Amino acid sequence: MLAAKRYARALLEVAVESGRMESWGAELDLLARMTFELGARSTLTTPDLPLQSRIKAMEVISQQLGLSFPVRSFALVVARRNRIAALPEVALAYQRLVDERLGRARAVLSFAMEPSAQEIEQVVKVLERVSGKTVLPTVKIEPALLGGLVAQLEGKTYDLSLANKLKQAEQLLGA
Amino acid sequence: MRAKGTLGVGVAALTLASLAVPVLAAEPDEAGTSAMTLGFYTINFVLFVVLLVRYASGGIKNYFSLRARMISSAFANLEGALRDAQAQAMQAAERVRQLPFEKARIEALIRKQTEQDVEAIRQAAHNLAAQIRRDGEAAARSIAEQAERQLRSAVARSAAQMAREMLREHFRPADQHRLVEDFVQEIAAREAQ
Repeated sequence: MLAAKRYARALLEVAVESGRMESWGAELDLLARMTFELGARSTLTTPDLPLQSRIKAMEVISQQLGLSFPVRSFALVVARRNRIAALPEVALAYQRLVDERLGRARAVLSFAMEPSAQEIEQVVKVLERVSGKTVLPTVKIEPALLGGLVAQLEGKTYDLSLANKLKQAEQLLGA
Repeated sequence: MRAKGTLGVGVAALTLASLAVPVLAAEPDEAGTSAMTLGFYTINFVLFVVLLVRYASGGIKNYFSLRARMISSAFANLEGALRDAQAQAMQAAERVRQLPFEKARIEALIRKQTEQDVEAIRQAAHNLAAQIRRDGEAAARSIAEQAERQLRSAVARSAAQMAREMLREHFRPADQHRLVEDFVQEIAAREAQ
């Protein structure tokens, strides 16, 4: 994880200078997903793959994904250093560094029912007030919650779902 | 000393033998012979007595003296034994006299000891019964509490299950909207604190 953060920080420094933090982040995320999926089905991420094969594979993938030159170069450096398997971690670290730099926080919002845009906005606003940062939500639908929602933000969980309330009531009654 | 005694006895025997020869060799009249014989026997007897006194009296005296001392000692021992026997007899008589009292004392002691034993057994039984009662009550209480907990838990599970089913059946988007608003208010209230 420490190495991933080091790679992410190096890329971010270049991205800040070129003013392409967000777009490079998106490209890195795409690359990470692709290598992760390919790694699960091939020997791409295994350390015993020859250096030339790794570099060649990364060139092909970068070309296919249409990555910009700096991100493609970064991918080749990662392949040369035998760190392809760490790309998902690098992408995550990059995303966190960008969020930190831009004062953003990512939240996972789980609703019992499909929420309206207004409801999402309401929740995001209150979470922004709590965290003091711009909140980027990821919305999920979880019928098991029965009603209400659960928000996860910066390591904290706000669980006001009916499933949780029922569970608490059951524990109280059974105690 | 012994040689001297033996020599004396020998001399006396030779003297008697020299006297006896003329007495036996002479053949006087009947009366003269009788007087000589009598004289011979008399002298012989006197000599015998003198020899006896001279050589045997010491031993006889010693024997009887020793014998007297032995008898005296035996008497003394017997008297001591008699006194011991008398003392023992008196002690035995005293014991016999004390027997009823001793018997009564032992009986009283045994009675008292028995009473104490009975009391101790009764107390132990009482304590044991109390302990068994307490244990039984505790066990019953524990069982009742466990049953109550199980019952409450079962009721809580059933109630929660029923609530889940009702929610699934009757929950509407309007309810969800209200819960989202509650969420917003709750988080805002927490932030205000």
